Amino acid sequence: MTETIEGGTFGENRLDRTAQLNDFLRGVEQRAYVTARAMTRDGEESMDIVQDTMLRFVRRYSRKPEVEWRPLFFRILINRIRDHQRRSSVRGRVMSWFRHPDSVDPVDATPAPRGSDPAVAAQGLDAMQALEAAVQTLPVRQREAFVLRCLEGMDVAQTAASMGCSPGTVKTHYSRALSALRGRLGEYQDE
Amino acid sequence: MSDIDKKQIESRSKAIHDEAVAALEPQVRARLAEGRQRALAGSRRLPLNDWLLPAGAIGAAMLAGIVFLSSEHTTEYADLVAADDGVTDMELILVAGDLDMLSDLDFFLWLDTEPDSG
Repeated sequence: MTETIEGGTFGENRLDRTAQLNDFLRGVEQRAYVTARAMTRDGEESMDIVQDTMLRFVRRYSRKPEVEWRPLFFRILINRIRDHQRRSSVRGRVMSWFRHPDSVDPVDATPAPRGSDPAVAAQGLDAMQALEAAVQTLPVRQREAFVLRCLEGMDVAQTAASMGCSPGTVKTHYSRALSALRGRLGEYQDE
Repeated sequence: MSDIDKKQIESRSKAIHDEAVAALEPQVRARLAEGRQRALAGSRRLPLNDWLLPAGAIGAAMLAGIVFLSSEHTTEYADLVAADDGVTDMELILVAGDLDMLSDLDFFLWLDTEPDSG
């Protein structure tokens, strides 16, 4: 009889934990996707990153206390985005080796639909695209601090846990990010 | 940079982000939900891991018990076998190291049973 009760409790705990995980992931998945897209500017890659993040999170951290889930989830997300950025950087370097010095890169030659200058982009694109473009101009650590602190609404401690650095470093990066974005998003502040 | 400027940038950026989340296409939402279900399907298998350690410990204990009991049984069996005359004879033959006796074992066994054999 005792075994049946214990077995039932275990089964209920399992269901509870799965339900909690489902609620948590449902609450963060869309924001995580938009965040990843803001940092990579690649929708398809962002989808892969978020799906992989959910998988890794459930495998590694689902038994951690629920209060720790959010920083842990975004820590995985940030690491996956860093991996993507490293791969992109290596790919870019490799492609540049194979490119003939005199040849014209067709991508470079194509008129840019999204101006590389965030101020120009802000005139013709919607606000999110302008924000993405502005965020892209930030150094990596400033970008992470801005996205986690501002867009995801994390406090300093959570941001530090997600970035794997000290709270003081977060404050420095965040402050610099806001200063850098001030001019680039100026036109959107008054809307 | 003033605090007002910071607040403006923060609030505007957050609003833009929230709007982008709200405006996500249904197919994007559906793919994210699929990814979530795949991840959770993995979590449903996790309880097996919860049981793996205790089950392994219990299995190891049972195996140790079986080995222990079987070794006791083997000792008892060995004692019984040792009591058997035929085997004792075989041991005597082997201890003596005279392999010629093996070629006519029946003869020597009969000889041993004879009262006058020696």
